[in-house]
Amino acid sequence: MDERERIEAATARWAQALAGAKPLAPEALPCGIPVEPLYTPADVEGGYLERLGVPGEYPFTRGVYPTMYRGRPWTIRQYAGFGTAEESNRRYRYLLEHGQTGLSVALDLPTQCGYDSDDPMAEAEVGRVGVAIDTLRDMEILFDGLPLDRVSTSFTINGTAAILLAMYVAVAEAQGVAPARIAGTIQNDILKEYVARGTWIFPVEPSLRLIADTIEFCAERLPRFNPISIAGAHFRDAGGTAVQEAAYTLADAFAYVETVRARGIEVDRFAPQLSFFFYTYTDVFEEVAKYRAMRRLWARVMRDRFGARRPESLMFRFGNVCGGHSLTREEPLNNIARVTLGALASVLGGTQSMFTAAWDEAYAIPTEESARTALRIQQILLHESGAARTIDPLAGSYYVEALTERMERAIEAELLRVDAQGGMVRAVETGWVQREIHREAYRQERERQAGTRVVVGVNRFRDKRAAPPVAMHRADPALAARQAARLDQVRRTRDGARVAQALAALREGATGKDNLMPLLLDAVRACASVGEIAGVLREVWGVFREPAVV
Amino acid sequence: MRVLLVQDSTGHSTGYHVVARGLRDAGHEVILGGALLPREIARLAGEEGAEAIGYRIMDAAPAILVGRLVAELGRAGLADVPVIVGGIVSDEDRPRLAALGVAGVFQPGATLESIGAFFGGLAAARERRDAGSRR
Repeated sequence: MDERERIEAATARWAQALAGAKPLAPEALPCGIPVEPLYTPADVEGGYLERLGVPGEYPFTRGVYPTMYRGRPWTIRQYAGFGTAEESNRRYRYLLEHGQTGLSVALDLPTQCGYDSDDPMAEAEVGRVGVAIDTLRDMEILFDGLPLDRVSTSFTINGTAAILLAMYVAVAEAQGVAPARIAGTIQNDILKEYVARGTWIFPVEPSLRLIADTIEFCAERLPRFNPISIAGAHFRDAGGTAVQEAAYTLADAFAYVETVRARGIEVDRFAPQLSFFFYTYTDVFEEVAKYRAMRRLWARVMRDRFGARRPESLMFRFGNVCGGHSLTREEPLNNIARVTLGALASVLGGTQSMFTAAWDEAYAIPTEESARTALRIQQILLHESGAARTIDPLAGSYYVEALTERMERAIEAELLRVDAQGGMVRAVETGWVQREIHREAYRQERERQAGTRVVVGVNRFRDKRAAPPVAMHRADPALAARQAARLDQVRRTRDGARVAQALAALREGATGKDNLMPLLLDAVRACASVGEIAGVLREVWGVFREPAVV
Repeated sequence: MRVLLVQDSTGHSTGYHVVARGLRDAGHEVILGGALLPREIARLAGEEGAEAIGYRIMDAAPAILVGRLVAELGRAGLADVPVIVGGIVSDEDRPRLAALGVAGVFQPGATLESIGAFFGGLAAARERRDAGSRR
């Protein structure tokens, strides 16, 4: 009997011994993948080098970099921004002083949707869910005293991402920093906006063109900047499973790769700058398996389908957020435990940068104190837990390796379903992806309300005497007027002829095929506003019409 | 009853879609209006013959938006169409919404059952009223 047979015999003996007792109830991950009560070497496929390898080498299952956190810890990047540029600048300085290592800018909805702060569409929203940026002036204030060659900045911006990127480059120029030295990320992932996040502006085709323009521009001019962060996070937080999150994100990524390649640009010229972004919830092993499976899948598809050759093109670099839908408004301090579990899973899953949400973010913008506690979760994880001490520490776990395989196959199967819809762009336009996510969200909500999906403090162990929390962060009612006044002042002092000329050139360019980034740079340098620039593009391209999905 | 579901912005709409399915499963007819300004909501309510309006409000100051919607409904001769708000509503805003005549407010933690039953109650009240006016 060889060892494998002996292991199988021993496992059978164990199962038989159990059979007399109460049988173990079947269990599954939240995404539906069944989980056995015990895993053994018999559950793990062979081929260590082909399936796992070493960190920094194909297929990158064990991590994208050779040294991972031994070489450099993940970037601690807390999402923040509210009110005016001055207030947000103060919060960024506070976070950096307390040990944050990268910036992540939250923008208000008018900025994300391409409206100025004095636009009627912007009313009641100026500076509320993020900072208001109208012109280059605001962006200069936002980064006042923060040298752009020394910090890296992530912008959660999509419909107007190209405009914000142009502003960031212009701020660097004004600071005397060469654009080639700036580092950061714009989210710039429009396909998921149509499905789950909602800050789309233009129809699909011109939106994809704008994204390809930024990818091309960064490949040529900004080697340290990620022109896109293909985001599964929003599929997940809209109710999708971990498998849907992974599959739809990869499907989006493949659509972007195809769009840029269709311009005749070689995959290895731009693929190294593609990055990803996900939610990590509290089911630790599901999340670890998800990230390990995605790394392997991405490397394989990029190599075999798209012919990428540079190792950097095959590296699945991702950032993540912990919190979101996994947080509860009931007994909100419990959220610190939830975020901690997600953060641990992210580190065990090999993240490159992380945002840990504050415990009060289920219902409010965090206070300085709750934001600090959220930051501390990552520092405790890094310096006290030991989770970062060795690379990919869960590798070789019979369970984790078996689960990684299962997860990879489940993601592939979901990708085939997208293909059957005619690919991701088509599946988004017809509303198929939206329906898939809504159905799953509804199923989960019914399970929560029935109590079959346990949420501690909500549908199990609920303390009925606990008072519901109150929001502590107060929006400043005078803020919109203050922001509009600054915009008005910029409009009165800028060179009007130069603005008109830049916008006219942009209008002309938008009808053509050339890269729009140089024209956007001219426009923002002239202090044209986000609303003016988006307005010109809206005139030329029109707006996206949401498919009615019930 | 015919329920028009609308929201103030496009993002974070999981609850909106979940409630839409919940109302449908509770036997109501649901029209998804998407993200609309108050004026557009009133117009659509008239066109669709909505018998109730469910308004998901996420980020904005709810009293401002609901105040406008109520005014627009009045102008359109639809003052009797009840407005139900869903979302996070602060303690200060609750009496403001009540003063504007909002029929109900559902916050996080509300069950699909309670929402479905509330709309069921509105439908029953509407039937009684219609029956009364026919007598």
